[in-house]
Amino acid sequence: MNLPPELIEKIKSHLNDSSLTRDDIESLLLCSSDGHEIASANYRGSAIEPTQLSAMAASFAGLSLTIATTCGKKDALGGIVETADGLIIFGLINTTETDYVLLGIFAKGVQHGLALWSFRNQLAGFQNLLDSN
Amino acid sequence: MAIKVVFVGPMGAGKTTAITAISDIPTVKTEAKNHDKSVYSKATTTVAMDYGELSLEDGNKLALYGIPGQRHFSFIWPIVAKGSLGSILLLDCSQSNWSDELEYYINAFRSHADTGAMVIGLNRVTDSDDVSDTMQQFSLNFELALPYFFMDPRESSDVNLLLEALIVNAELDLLLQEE
Repeated sequence: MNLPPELIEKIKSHLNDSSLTRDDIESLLLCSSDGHEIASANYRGSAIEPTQLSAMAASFAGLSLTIATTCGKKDALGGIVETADGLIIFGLINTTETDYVLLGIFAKGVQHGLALWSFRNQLAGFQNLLDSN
Repeated sequence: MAIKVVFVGPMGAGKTTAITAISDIPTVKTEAKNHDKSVYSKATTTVAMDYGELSLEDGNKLALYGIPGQRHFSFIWPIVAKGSLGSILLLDCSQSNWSDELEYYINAFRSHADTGAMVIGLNRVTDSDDVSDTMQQFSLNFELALPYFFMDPRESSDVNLLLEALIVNAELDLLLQEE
């Protein structure tokens, strides 16, 4: 997908903003809603495979929206995968031009509430950034 | 328990349209904005799967699954196709690379192609002789005798014909196995 290079730089800069890198966040990834990687950041020495994960995040987001609609719940905002090693949270960001998926990987032992609060703050930050560009 | 059939093929081949054309229920779709219009110019694209259902006269039910056609979603194809009777490969022959896509998807769903559990639907055919020549050459090169039909995924009769061919092939295969 073709995003302006300056916007991609802003996204990368935002991902690498030290205020985002809470101790319990391992990785963040932003992709388009149709599965194309835009940018990702690994904190605390973790590593993800962003291309493959972008496609998976988009599929998961699409499926979650459809599950929510089928269950009579409109406007799904995101979803959570709970694992023994931590949480994976994704959220949807809709803008006029493009729809995005933000994926956050949280460390083992993180409190659900804290992770959700932290993730929603990041989601709001990305929404502002993408809306203003 | 429903018999599972999977619609495969590249983005824009008509998989979602074909399922919608014959499904008894509103098709369950997982669509997102298409940001890759250089590959195919359409507003939305499937990102996980499509799902529809078709009741047969004998009381059986077909579960109709569609894969997301973009290759970066290939991780989900075996998940969607697991336990399926066979696959219907749809191709848009107005695309210059349709024969490459034919080879790619046959290899991706090789277990279906090798056992005859695959039927090919050729969409937007403008030169039927040229397409037929390509299909015959392909069959010779790959030693595969897969049935193919010119079709319009919007037409339920065309899609039903593909399903019937797939089911007849599966029944023949079953009979051959029993002998």
